Amino acid sequence: MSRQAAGGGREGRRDTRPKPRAVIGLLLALTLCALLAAASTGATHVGPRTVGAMVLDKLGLLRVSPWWSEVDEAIVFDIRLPRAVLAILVGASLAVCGAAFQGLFRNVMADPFILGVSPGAALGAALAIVLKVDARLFGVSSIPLFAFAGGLITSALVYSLSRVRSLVPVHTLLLTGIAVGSVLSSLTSLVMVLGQRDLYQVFFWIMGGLGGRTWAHVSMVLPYAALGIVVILLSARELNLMLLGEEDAFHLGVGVERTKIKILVAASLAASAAVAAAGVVGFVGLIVPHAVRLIVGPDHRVFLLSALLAGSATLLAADMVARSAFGPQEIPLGVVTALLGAPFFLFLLRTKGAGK
Amino acid sequence: MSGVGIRVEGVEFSYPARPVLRGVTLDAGRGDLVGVLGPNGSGKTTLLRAISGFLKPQHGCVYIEETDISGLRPREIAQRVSVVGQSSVFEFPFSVNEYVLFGREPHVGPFQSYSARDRALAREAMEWTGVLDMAGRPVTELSGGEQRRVLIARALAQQPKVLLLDEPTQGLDINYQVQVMALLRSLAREKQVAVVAVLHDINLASSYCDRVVLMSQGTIWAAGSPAAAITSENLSAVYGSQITVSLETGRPFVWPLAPAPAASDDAGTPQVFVVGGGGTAQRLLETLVLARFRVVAGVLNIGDADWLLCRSLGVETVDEEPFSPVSASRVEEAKHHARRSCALMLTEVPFGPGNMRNLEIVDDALASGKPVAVMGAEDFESRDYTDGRAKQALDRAVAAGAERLTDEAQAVDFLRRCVEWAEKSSS
Repeated sequence: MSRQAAGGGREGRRDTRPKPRAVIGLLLALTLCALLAAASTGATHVGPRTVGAMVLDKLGLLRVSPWWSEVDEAIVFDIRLPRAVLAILVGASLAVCGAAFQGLFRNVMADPFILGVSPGAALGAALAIVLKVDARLFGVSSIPLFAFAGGLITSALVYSLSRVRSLVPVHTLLLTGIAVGSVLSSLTSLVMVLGQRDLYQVFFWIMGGLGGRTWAHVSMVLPYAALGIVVILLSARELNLMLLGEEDAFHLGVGVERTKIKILVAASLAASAAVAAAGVVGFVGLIVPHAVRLIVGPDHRVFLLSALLAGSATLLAADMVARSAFGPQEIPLGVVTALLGAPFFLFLLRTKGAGK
Repeated sequence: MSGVGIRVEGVEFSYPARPVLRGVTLDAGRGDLVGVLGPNGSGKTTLLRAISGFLKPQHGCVYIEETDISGLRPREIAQRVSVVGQSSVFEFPFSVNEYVLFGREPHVGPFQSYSARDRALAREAMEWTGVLDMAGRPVTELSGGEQRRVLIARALAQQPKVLLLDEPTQGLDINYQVQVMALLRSLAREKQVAVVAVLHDINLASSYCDRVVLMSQGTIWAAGSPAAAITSENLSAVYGSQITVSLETGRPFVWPLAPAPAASDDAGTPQVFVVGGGGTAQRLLETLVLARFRVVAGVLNIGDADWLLCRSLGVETVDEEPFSPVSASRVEEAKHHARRSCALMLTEVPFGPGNMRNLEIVDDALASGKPVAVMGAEDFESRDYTDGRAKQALDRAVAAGAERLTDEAQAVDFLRRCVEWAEKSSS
């Protein structure tokens, strides 16, 4: 009896992980704050209270006589909000896809672009820009469409190249992704050299950014990003079991190959959509999941949702820096995420890593 | 045994370039603890993987409780079978409690969370395997042996009908090895689980398993009770090394010798002839075999205690019919062997009318100049059931130069001297 009591006591002591509800609540609040801030900041300042009132008024939840101008409303609704919502979608997609790939590959160095989505999308975008493809579909220019197609085709190619009969060994998948990616990157360089006049535009697109994005972009990205994210969130348990090794996952009831395909397809969709919308925004998909895991632990039921929120908030914040740090001149989003993300990551590694 | 837990029928499995299982058929009842033995690469792990459905055999069927598992989904298999394998990953810092709770996943619905019962089962499993007091610790920080116990706890929490284990005692100290085996046995008995464990330690298998299966090159070489399957012949054939089996403890007990010498080496191994019987030769035989002498024993009645021991030690014997007096022709054969030996050893065997003739072998050896040693310091009268004839013969032997030895260490010493002497005299 006394031994049981002692065991129970130590069982109760647990590690230093915070309560899941608290983390998720905090991250949700943080994302909402970031959203308000994103809609408020810019050349024309519109206070967060005003933004809040605007949104509630638009949604019919609040009856007030507007104290803001129509120009302000246009700035918030047509320029800042679509950009902020897109930032949320892109950040959420990248973080959740990164988290899913890290789980699937049992490798914390995996990111959303591991199947070659980003070089594929970059090549697609470069071709669209250099060849001046002028098709507009659903109100979106050809560049994101080509990027989306490039990302999806590449991941399908990598997947089919690494199939060994009915199995897809993860190491083969990783290596194939790297090999195909480097071929596509050099093709992109070739396209850039041949289409010299558009070099700057291609280069800028590849560095990533959300400048000039509209609701049309949001509606293009939303279905794929949402579908991919929801499928991954619903696979949290399978991902947990995949962390125990593929054989153990099978013995605990996971259809391993089916789960792999499901996650790969879902993540490729969401990641391609994100790249199509924002270009290649690096580090978010690698660092956010990693940092979140250090805080909440590896249980995907908590981890994926936390990563989703943290990714959204991170990208909102990064985009604010990108468009306001150097005045009217926007800097590429990918530069901001790398510049701010990598040192934070190193800091996390040192502090959390030393505690082990 | 109450009901068949596992039935494996003619299972064949090949990797692209290599057949691994070549038609394996076996079954394990509920309540049975079955040990799978065999050398590396004999297909033990592959057999477990085929039973667990992880590998799909090209031919043959696996039935769990009479259900063909090839038609079951992974989750349905996991509700019946749990596995403690060799390829588990401990890279992510789940707590021990979380890790063991994963064993409940096959029983928890997709949108349910763990119930109080799930938590109680996990707790009970942790208590059984002695990991409850580390429930809050991350599995990444445990030692290999602790991780092994956590895996077993997870398998128990899964409440399987069939439990498959690939070397469950690997990395455990002797105390936990014994505890795990005892746990598996009581799990089989009390919860009527069919337990199949690949084991490297033959003695552990022999002491705890109800049945053992000895695999060799993808087939089952022998199967049955430990006493039936773990024999010197079977083990030596399967492992390709001379393995000695003693039945002293009631169950086979095994110790290995160096790999069996090639035929050319065999010719150079010094041979010793042992006259014994009735179990008097036991320690001497074991000592001589361990000291790597080639031993021939005789004349022994078939079924005699020493004869049985010779069988399990792989010692050649000159045999007489059961319960019959030693015949002249057998004695001649024995003399022939004794003359080719470097020495003759006589145990403390008592002599009666039935085996009196064995003393002729001793006389013959002395007459042909062979070194002879007589074990035991006591007076010969105590061994004589022939009205003094045996005592006379023994006294005569000692007078003719037979040495008297008191223990096995002296016997080995004596034989080494004989070998040296034989080498000197032949060169």
